[in-house]
Amino acid sequence: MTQGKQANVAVAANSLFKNYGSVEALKDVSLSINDNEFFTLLGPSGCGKTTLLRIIAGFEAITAGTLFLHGKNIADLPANKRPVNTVFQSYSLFPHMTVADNVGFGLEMQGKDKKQIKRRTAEMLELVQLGSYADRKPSQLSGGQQQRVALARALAPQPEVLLLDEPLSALDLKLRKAMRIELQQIQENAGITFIFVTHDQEEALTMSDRIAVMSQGELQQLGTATDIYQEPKNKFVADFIGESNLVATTVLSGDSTSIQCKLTDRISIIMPNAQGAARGDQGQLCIRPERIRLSNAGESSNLEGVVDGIMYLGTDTQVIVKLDDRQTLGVRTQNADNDRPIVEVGQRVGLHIDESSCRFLAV
Amino acid sequence: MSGLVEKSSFGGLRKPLLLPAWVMIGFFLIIPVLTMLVYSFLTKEFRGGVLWEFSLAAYDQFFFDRGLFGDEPPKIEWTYINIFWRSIVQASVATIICLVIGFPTAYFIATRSPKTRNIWLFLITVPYWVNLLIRTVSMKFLIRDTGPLNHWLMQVGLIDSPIHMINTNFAVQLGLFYSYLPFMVLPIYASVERYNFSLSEASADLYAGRWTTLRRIVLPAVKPGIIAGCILVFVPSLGAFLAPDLLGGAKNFMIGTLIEEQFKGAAGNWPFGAAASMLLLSLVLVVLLFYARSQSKQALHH
Amino acid sequence: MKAKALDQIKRYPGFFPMAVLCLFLLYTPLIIVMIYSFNDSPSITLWGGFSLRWYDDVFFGLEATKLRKAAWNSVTIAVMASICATTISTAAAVAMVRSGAWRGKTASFAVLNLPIMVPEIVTAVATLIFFSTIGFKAGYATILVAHVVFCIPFAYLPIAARLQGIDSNYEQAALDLYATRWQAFKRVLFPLLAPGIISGFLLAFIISLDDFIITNFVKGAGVETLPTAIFGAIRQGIKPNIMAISTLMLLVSILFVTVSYFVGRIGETKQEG
Repeated sequence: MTQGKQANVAVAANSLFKNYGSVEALKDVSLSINDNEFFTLLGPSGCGKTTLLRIIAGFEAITAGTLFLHGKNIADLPANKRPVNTVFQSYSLFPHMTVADNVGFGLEMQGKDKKQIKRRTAEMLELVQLGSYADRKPSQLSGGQQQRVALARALAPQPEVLLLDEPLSALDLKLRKAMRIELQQIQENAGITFIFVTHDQEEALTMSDRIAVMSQGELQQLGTATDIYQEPKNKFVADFIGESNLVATTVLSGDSTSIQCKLTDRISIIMPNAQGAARGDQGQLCIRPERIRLSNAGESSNLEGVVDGIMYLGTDTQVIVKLDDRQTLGVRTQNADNDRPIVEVGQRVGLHIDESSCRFLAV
Repeated sequence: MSGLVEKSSFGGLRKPLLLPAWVMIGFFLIIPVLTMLVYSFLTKEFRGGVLWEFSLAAYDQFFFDRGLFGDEPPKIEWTYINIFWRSIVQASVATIICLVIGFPTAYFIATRSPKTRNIWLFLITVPYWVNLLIRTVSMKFLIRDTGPLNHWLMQVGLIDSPIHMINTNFAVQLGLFYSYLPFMVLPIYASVERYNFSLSEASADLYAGRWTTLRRIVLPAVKPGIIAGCILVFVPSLGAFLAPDLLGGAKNFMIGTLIEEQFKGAAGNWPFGAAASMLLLSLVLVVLLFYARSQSKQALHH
Repeated sequence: MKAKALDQIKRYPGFFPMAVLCLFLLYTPLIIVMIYSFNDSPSITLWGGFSLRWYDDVFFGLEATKLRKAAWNSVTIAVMASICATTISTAAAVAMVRSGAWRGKTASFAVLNLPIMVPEIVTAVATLIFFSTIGFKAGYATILVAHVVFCIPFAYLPIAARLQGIDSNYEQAALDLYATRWQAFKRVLFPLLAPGIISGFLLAFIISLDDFIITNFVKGAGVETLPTAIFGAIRQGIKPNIMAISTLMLLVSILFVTVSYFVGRIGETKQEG
């Protein structure tokens, strides 16, 4: 985390545009990434996150806009002149070279002397716990090991910024989870800015200092994991990060601190006015399923419905409740919680919504 | 988005990298073909060269007969048109024989296990690497009247006197077939190998018999390979020289032998040879254009 | 039995015999010539027992000097032409496959493949006319130039195919690690591309070694390659020594295709790993 110290800007992008013929891959993207930050670009495939990464790496030219690295304009600098290294999605380890030669390649190209290369290579392999694999060929390593070599190779020349293009996507689930922690530790130890591209929201939420959510070439929201989860700026973010009940709504009344929004014809919800909405505004009401509690019908709840479906998910259960005006809401209950009523399909239940966690989204 | 991006690691070096190839082919193939086009409109010189005077005589000689002294009203001259026509027929027959034998072979190879497949492919390609001249000479040796084939057939008692095969149309077709068979097998093999056999299963599931499946499902799917194979056999067969020269003899002229004759010795006629070459080239270009058309149509469908 | 019946969806009776027939037709003439090259009888029709006399004749007989000269020409031309064609084609393939999309790419591809598309006899005629127009004396040099041009697409196609199969992230990773484009090519792309370059080279070599039609047109008087020498000799009828030469050339070809096949296999297994 960068809290407490003066944050220096590592990468600053201003109004970036990128077109491939008539396809707009990036539309007016501006963001700044701080030193020593674990920064994640998150979005579905085709949202432009990889394009942005490749632009920072120097593999793609920008159509319009500016790009600075530690205050230096790098927009026209070729990839081999940028102090930025990449961990590729498929690792792209040179198959004809040994692990050590792969890791030492960047230093060799920088013209470092042999002793220095050897020392740094050994150091890097130690860092990723592959010291004894120096003389193997990449094809003799497992996926997870190849991943570490790719990381060591990109870190060896001590880049100012490390770019990671979905580096965990080729690993299986267990390994992926272990690598998340490891990556975070390496980032903290190395003290290098990481820019991490992923489409996996869980990965993004657990690892990042800050997250940039992208969709259709545009930056949707930028903030910490809690920010974007608790204060989604728009319908896309609310829907893409976690699960949301999104209900079309109208602002019935309100002031600068709180607003009242319609849920059903009879029932409205009072919540913080996070986006400065005014009476009469139309939009979406966002209610997280885990912020709804179930109770038996008639038990001090004015909102009631009938259970329409139940999905057992291991740690939780997802319950679909059909309200009296046919609107449905998803509810998540923890299975460990023995106090909650065990429901069955067709049963009438009461719902308690944590109103302060609800948000009104204009777009 | 990476699907949209063309790989361009060497973008800035495109021209210097391509220049040597362009210069070699431009200077030693494209310019020569244009020079040949010019030659086809020049006047024949009697010792086997040309006079730099514009003349349509070469094309006129090809298509029209104006009598021995050139003063009779023009009649259509069939000799050369017939040679072209015969070439087309010979090349077509050779292509059909290649297809009839090549398709089952290619299909058979593509349905083997990968290991056996490689051995078969290896065996099919080896003859292609053997010198064409040697292959044609071998064929000539084999089918001569007194050659091993006739000798063997007579010994076995299937025939009493040698079958005359050399210097016939059949010999030329056989030679062409023998020269270019691998060109038919390889592209068909490539498309059958890509063919998704669950389509055949789906067809069988829907009550189609094996041969109906072949006709209605497999053949349409591998058509691009079949067309490519036919082109690869037909085009070189059309301009072939060795097979008609060595196996066809004097009576079975094809375009290739006709052209060759114009450049040998004093009987040669360079403008006429150039004109015949231009006509052959045009014929080939028409076939290739037709092929390119069918390819781009195919691409549109996908 | 059920499995077998199901498997028959893919199989067609008669296709296997056709494939065998195909091999039979391809190999019979070659094998017959091989056998008869060991025939002791000077008559090419009758079998007179096993002998190496025709091989002896090829190496030490009356025409040995002529043949040796022709073989020398064939080999030196093939070596030089295939080295030139492979170098030119490698550069062209890198430009075609790794320089993005551009106007004229299709046209450039057509130009590179022109020597295959134009019928050989037309190329031969055009080259003869061209050299005679610019007053270039037909001989060794004209054969060499014509062979380089003719070999370009044969070297280009396997190299470009191989290059297309190599992930461009490899050289981008090299560029990302501060390599210049030349270093990225030399250290990363070239080693990965090597099997393609070798098969391109071998193919170009064989094509040059085998060429008869173009050589026959542009060779001029006095200079012979093996194919033109053989063609000249069989004008007087097939003699047994021709079969001995043919067998030798056949073995050289088979050696080449085998080497090329195994180089390709090594490349494939490397790529998989």
